Amino acid sequence: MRPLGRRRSGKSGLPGVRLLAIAAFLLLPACASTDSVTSSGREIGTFYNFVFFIALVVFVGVNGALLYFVAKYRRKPTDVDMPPQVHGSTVAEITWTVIPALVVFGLFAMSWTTMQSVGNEKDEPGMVVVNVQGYQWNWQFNYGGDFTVKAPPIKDGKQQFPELQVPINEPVRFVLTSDNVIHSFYVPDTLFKMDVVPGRANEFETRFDASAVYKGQCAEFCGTQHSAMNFTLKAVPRKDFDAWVKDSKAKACAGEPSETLEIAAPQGQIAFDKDCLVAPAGKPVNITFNNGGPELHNVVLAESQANPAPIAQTGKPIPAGQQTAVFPAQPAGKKFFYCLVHPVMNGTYTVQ
Amino acid sequence: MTTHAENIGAVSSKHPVMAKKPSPIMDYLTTTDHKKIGVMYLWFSFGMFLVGGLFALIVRTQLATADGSFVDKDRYNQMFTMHGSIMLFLFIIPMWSGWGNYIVPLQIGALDMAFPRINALSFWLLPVGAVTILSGYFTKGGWAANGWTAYQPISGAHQAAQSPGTGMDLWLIGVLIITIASSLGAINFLVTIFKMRAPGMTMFRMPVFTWNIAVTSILALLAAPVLMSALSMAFIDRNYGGSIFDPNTGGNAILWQNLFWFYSHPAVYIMILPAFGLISEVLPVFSRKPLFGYKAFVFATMAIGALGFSVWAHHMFTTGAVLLGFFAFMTSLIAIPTGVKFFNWLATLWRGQLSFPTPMVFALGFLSMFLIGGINGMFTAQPPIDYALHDTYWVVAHIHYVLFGGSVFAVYAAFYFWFPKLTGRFLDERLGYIHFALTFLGFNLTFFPMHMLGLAGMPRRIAQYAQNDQWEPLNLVATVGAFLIAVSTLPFIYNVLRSMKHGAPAGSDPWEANSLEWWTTSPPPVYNFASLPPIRSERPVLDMRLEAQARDRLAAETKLDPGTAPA
Repeated sequence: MRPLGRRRSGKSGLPGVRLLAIAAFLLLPACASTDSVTSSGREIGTFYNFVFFIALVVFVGVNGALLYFVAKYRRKPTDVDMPPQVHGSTVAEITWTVIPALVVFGLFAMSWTTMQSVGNEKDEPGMVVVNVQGYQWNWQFNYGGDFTVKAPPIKDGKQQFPELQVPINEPVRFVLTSDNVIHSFYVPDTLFKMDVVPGRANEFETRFDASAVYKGQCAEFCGTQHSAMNFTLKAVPRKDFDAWVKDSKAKACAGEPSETLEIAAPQGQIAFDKDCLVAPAGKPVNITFNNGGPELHNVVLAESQANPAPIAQTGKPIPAGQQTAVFPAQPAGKKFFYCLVHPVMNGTYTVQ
Repeated sequence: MTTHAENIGAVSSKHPVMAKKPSPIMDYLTTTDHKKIGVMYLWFSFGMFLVGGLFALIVRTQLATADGSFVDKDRYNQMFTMHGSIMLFLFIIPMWSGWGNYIVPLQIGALDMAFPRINALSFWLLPVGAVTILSGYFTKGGWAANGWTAYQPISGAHQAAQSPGTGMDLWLIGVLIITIASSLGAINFLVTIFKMRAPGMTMFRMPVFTWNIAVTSILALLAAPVLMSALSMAFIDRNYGGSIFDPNTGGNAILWQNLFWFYSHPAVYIMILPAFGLISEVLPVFSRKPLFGYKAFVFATMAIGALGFSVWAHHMFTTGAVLLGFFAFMTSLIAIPTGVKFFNWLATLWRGQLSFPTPMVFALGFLSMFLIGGINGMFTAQPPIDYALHDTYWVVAHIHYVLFGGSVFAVYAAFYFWFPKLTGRFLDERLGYIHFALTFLGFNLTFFPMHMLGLAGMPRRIAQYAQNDQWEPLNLVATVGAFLIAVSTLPFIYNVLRSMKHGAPAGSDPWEANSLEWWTTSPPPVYNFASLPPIRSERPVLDMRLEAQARDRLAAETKLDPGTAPA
């Protein structure tokens, strides 16, 4: 062999040793943060730690063997003849096919059982259902049609985050929909996410353990402001949750009815300035809509979000300007209004 | 039957084409020689590696601190899109096409690729595709900005206000051109490997690198048409109201993901199988042993190729539109043939006589780093764990341990291993070690912390993040690592440029290697081989070396003891 090869063999162990030391140092903290705050999350965390254990065994085993061979089988200056030319061994091949196969099957079995329970809880009467809607670029959370949590309007050019609340120690169902692009509903502390896909309604259930405020964020790239699509999730005891719901419902849409209503879409926003209009029962109402532009908007009155056939509207959607119209008299109850172009712009039309 | 080399050897020197020497530029522009085309592939794709790296540096600079504002959000989205697109479509895949082009005909004792002109075409389509994609910069809205996965419907027509206009169209056309090039290349490799092997070069005597290029080509050939149709559909959606992928007009957003990953998962194997092949060439040479379990290794490659077509939806576990059990099971199965490969590599080292020149060091680096890429794949293959890790920086760590710790380390090993064949000169070893140390350190600093970032909930593809005690230090480390990787390319580039002229002369077989490319001169003549040795095993050059040694010994013994000389 040429001198090139021999000179090198002296310092051969070094890259390997350095490598193992660095990797081990870096690997250890990787199992640190798998605690979770939900029933599903804990199962995922436990499974993660189990796989991590297998991974560590494989990593140490393979890299250990590698380093051992590198240290032990270095070519010595006296090695002129080639070592025994072992071409393979059927027994060895079968062994290292079958054993990993068993590990893989075992892992899959665990994966399968975990998969059945994660994100699935039994229906309970009165179960809280949160309808999560993602849009470019924010979230809104609708509670069974009663009220909708929206982000506060943009302040100082900064996106504001909406906050949804859920009760602890009971199953909560999330129903995820989008009317434009794909988003992903992700609360890191739950170790869970699910995509919010236009054209389908994804669902999952989970159970929060403790009262706390958790950060959430869109996890699927959705355009310019993807990084600003944050929200917070507040888990509270049932009685606080009930109080919050009652409060939100009351705030949602009530007040003095008026025969002249005004509503506007601020310039550059896909949002109305209010999500509640209160009209008197049995009387027609004069409504004025101001669109700050440049997006196309109008105001449509409908029976409900589920039944959006227009009862009346302020006119065809316009890019900017003012529309006035008369909405016909309605019996007392809750109706729904929205923008024909942007169904995500909506609110409650209370008749009382 | 006579060999190609004999046929050509008889005519070459007096052939009229050979009589006049064209200028080097015209020579390369018009060549159909697989070696020159291979070299152009290498230059082109390494250049693209540097360009893609620049985009990555901008990404890392932006993320170094909370609320980074090095570039605005739209520009940032273009940066990671271009980084991914360039690295996958214009660096790793063409880089292996380059090595395949240069080495495969030599390894099977062929004169050239089967279709030399198509070979030139498939190379020259690449710069056309690259220019098409990159010219997005000059359009309104800039480059494409929806990631290298170009999910729908965000990349569709109805989102024109949010996704860049023409840049996205140019991306679709550019990738289409590149995919056509890759299909043409795949056909060329397959015909070459099946039809142009030298006498005695049976399939099971082929070098493993050639085997892996063959399986890679089958993957490319089967998967690329699916991507081509998906790209065409997206283009029709955007420009002619196709309504294929946008649910608001009756399309299906998940359909794109199925089609895209049906190509792009096999594409990961297109990027890593040639690396497996290269490693399987390097380890036996520097262990002075045959590859342990040659046939098992080949079958494992085929198994990975076949399984590769049944796992694409593991990229879509969180869409809620996937048969979780099936895809999780098939994905886990891939660990088995990959494990077989690892054990065979280790067994090749076992009881060998190991030496550690630069190709071997990079190959060992590959083993230990790609191992992590394989292991962290075991996590994301389990749907429940993927719910936590999907679309976070964990996945970014995974793909880089596979494609950088795997493919890039192997690409560097290939440079140090085959550079003497390409130029007749060694790359400098000392610079090579510096290069390895910097790459190894920079790589781990950049990508290891991303596991922790993913667990700490940092989603990928976010242009900014608010102040966060967990994310900030990890991101800073990753950014420092990224710049270290950038620095690590400098000794390599200097080494290549310098060694082309001034490297130590290497001779035809500097590593005492096994396969046929080491039989001919370095660099090989236009016609590749003046003569071919008899091919009686998968290590014909070794056989000849042993035969020569035996002859020498016999001659020496004969001299010592004339009485026993054969008649």
